[in-house]
Amino acid sequence: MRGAQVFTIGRTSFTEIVRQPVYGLMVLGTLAAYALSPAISMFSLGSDRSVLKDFGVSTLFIAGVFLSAFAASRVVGRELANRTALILLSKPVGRGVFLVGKFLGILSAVTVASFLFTLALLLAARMGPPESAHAPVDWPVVTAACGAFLLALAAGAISSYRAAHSSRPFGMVTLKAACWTLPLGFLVAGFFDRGWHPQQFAAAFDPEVPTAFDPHLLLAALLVLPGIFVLCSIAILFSILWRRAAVLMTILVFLGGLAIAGGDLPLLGLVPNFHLFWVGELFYLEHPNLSLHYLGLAVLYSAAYSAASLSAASWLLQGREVG
Amino acid sequence: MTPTKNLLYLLIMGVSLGCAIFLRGRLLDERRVLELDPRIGNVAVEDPLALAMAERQVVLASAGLGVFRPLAIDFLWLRASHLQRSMNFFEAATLSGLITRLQPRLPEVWRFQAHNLAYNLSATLPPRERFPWVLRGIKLLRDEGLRYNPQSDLIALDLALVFQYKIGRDSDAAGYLYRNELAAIFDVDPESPQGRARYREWKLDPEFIKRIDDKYGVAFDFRAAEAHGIYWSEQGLDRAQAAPEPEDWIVSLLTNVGRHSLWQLFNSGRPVKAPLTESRYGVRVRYAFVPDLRFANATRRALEEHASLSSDAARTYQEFLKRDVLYRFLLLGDEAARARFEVTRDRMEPSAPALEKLLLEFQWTAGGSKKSALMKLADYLDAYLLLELAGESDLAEGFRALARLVHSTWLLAEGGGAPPPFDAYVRTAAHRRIEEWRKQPRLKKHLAPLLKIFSKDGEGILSLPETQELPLSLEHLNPPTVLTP
Repeated sequence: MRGAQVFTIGRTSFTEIVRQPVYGLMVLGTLAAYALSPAISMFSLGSDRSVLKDFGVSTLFIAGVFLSAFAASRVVGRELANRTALILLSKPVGRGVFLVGKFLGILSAVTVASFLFTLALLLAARMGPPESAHAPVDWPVVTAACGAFLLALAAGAISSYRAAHSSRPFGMVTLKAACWTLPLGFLVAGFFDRGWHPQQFAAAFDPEVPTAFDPHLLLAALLVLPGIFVLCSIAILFSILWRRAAVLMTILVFLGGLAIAGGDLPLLGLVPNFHLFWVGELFYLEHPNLSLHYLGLAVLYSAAYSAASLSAASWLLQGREVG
Repeated sequence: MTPTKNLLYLLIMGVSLGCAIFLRGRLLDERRVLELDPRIGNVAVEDPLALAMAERQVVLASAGLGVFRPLAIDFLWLRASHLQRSMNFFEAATLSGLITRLQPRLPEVWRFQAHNLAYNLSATLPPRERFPWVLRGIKLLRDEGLRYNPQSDLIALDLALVFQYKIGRDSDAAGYLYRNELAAIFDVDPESPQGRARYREWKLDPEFIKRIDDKYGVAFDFRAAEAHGIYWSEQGLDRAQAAPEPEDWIVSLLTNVGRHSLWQLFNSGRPVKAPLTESRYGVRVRYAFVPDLRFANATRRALEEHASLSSDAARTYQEFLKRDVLYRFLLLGDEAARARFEVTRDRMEPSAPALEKLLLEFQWTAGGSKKSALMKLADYLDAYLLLELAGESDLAEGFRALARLVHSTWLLAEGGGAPPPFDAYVRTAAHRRIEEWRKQPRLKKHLAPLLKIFSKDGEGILSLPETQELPLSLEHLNPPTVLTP
């Protein structure tokens, strides 16, 4: 029963978030940044590809910060401020269930966006910054990325045209379509090398080939996701505490969590250490080594910290007058 | 809410946070093992607090700015390049400084900025105002570039080049001033508290210095720029060879800088302080740099290894063989030079001339006219006087002996009767110096030693041409040069 409630609240929250123009704009803006990234990381004096990957992962993190902060502010803070949450909480729905449902809704929206960002980043990193004016263009990547984008746009346009009176907005349909077309484009690009020569898909992840998809980049992007989950839980906590300042506070906590870096004081453990989810240094190492074990530990850390934040949020909400 | 529920929430929060703190420790350990944190600085010579701050800056700049970072970098690079093309080096340097903040983990950024400061910006200023800019370039590479990129062999190479080439050689009009400033900075006892602080400030690791002392069999004197050149080229070689796949071209460049530094140390590695050492008139201490025979063996080994690789290297080796004999003549006397000449004459190409001819050819094509012989005589006697005044009696005697050789060999061979005695020429050179210095009241006290040695009257004064160019840049020992900025 509670599971069904959580699922319903989560699904509704997800829909509400992805229908927001700000969500669409952030996703579009980040994808555009990745599309332009090979060009804008050209002035890196020989370390272009490393810089592209480094800032690509950082961008994923930043986009996650903003998305989670805005989403939490929208589906938790605003509902509490407008008292629309009362409609739900007046029914036999526990406040804990309400929060967990909201949390899962935010996670889903952020995960979908991160999924698209990761694929776009992998494509951009495979293409890489042009080393010279005559450097060959990775046409399979360009074709796959542009094709996926155009197909998603077409799906959104057709859907809007065919159901002019439906409530399905263009942005949401396009996003859903992109969740299919971009992976498809990624797969297609993986089966061809730069010169359109067919290759095994596994070869597209060969670390010895500089123009292949970088498996470490994939791991680094995956590592960011638990960090964003922690931010979602903190954003929810701040949305309950101070709705108007929630976005700003979430960003400040993110920066603070980065700034404490590897400090050894035990009390620093109380502050979420976002530095643990960032491995930009990896791309400058001769032999990068990011293990699944580390990823697993990071997921556990994220789960523990999110549980603490959500418990605090739920505790605060229990004692709060929402009516 | 019931107290039980409150307790339950607190319990969940406590347990979760406890787990998070435990996992944080595990993750930090794992990061160290996987080398996922930026490698910052050298703990042997850096302040731990500065290192911790630098690490936070890297993380914040990298992870905290996301896509805005490359955009800002692009804009700043484009603007800085434009300003550089328009010769607006100062503005370009300011913008490049911002780029180093945004992109501290790329050695090329620091190298670009440091090159701009040390080479381009300094060249736009009058010679006397250049050294602070060269120093800024050094500091940028040494204190910041290497802090953020401790494994960078290229930054160490650039540092070595600034010392060996920019300061150690006359690559610009102020080269001599740079060498002086550096010698003055390191004119401290390395074992004194002040000396230790100075070495620490310049990131000179005593352990590493001991290592290079042992390697070359010489105690390096860091008043000479090339000693720094060797230090940083060895640092660079350490870094290059520690890389999983050492780059041959970097190793080769670093070895070259080290070899050039040795060659320069052999030729001009020993600073001799000018007689006017007080800063009473606001004048900095001046130095002339004379040959240092302690580096003869290390230089010979380095040049011998390299001699077979190119005709230039072979020529340098031949030059070394000749200079080795000459410097021994100047510093140790005729017997030491002759002994060395006997050992090395078989290696000289084409076949070695007689020792006297080899010595006379130093900075002067032997076989010139009487006029040119007199000019050389004047130069060597002047060098003798200035060195005597500076308290460098051994080297002074060497130049006196060389002057005597010019006198006996060439003036006697010219014919037309016996030339005036050698001592008369010495008196003439001394008289000319005394007369010159008499005109400057502030130099009166410096006349005393000369007046003690030489007669003050004009008895037996001959005609000697004006000195042209003193060997080994010894003109810098002349007090009027010191007094006149």
